[in-house]
Amino acid sequence: MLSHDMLKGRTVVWLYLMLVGCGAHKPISDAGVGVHRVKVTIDGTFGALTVPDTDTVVRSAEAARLDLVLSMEPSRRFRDGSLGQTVTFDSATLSLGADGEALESLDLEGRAVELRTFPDGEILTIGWVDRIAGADRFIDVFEVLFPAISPAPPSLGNGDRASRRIIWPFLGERKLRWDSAVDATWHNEGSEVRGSTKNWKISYAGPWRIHGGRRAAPGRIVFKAEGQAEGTTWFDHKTGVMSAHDFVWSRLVTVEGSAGALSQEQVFAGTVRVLQ
Amino acid sequence: MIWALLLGAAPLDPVGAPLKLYLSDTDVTSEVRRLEPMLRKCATAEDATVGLHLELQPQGGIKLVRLDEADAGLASCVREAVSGAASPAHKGSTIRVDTTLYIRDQAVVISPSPTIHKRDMGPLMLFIPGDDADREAVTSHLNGPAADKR
Repeated sequence: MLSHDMLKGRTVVWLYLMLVGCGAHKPISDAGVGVHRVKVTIDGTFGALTVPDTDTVVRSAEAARLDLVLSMEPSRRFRDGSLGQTVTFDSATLSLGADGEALESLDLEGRAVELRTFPDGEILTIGWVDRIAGADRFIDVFEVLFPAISPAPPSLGNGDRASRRIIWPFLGERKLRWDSAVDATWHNEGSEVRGSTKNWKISYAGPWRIHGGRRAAPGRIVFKAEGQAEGTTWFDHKTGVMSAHDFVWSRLVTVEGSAGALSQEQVFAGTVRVLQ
Repeated sequence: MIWALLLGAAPLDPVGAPLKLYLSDTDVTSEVRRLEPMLRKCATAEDATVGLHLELQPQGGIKLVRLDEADAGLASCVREAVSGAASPAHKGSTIRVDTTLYIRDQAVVISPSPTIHKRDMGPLMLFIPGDDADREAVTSHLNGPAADKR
């Protein structure tokens, strides 16, 4: 039998654990991370859509430019130390072809996702990403957007190099999932003044691989891609916040359905600039 | 103390539920069912079955787009009741919902399983900026021709 004092002691422990538990998703208005806006431009070059076995062309090559202004607002802090940020598409334009005609049906403006990252920028999840994917939204194709706005270099001294993977998942409905990984080698190239601030210039490069899909029928599908990622990031000396990112990522995508497969070469050259 | 132990035993959510940026199918169904009490005043002496075509607006609120098989008095009452209904704002596009309103023995019931229209995402990870026909051709190549709709 437990004595009254022991029971009382255990109750205190339970209450303490409950209070700790309640802190799991607390709002982070006090986190010192404010709302900021970023401007993202990504030039996409898309090769012909081909049948891999026969090289039959199903759709010809094309080019597109995606211009975005995003607002990133901290929303909550999780128990594991990760942070949630609501990323809202304040403006979005997709220009097609050489004449840059804007796609009128683009349906991205006003949409939002929750980007959950560790404080160093490493991406854990992208909540509601399926709502900005697919027809007339296209972020499944331009998914390089996420590591572009949230790069996570390792801590490096001036001139140092280190390897660190860049990873993020795409989670859709009905158990659809694919995972991207870049085995990146990062290099601290030293200080550089951009505008009126001193920044660390940190570059990276490495192979990019993607694998995933949906195993169960109906809708069984496999996504595979291989390519290369490279870019340069600038982080403010004082705040440690990213101020700019230039990148060129490329991949050969193969999608295998239950009846056939298709491939497409994709190249994404882009810039990210923090506006405020 | 028992209450404290019971509360303490409640499972914590280690992952974190998604922020309510969009409405899930469950949310939509529950918002539509919430119309029921507002529609009670529309109960008629005679039994009726009325098709309701609704839209849940991104800025919040429910819009009645069309009513099927309703007499003028009932239609006007339903329109007025639905126009005052609230629903949460969301970051998605307008959600179209078809459902049925039943009036039986002066009791008003909304179908518990409304039809929620979904956008067709088309093939993923391949850039196909064309129209529905372009996307359907690619989907058909990947998954075979779509079965005819009933």
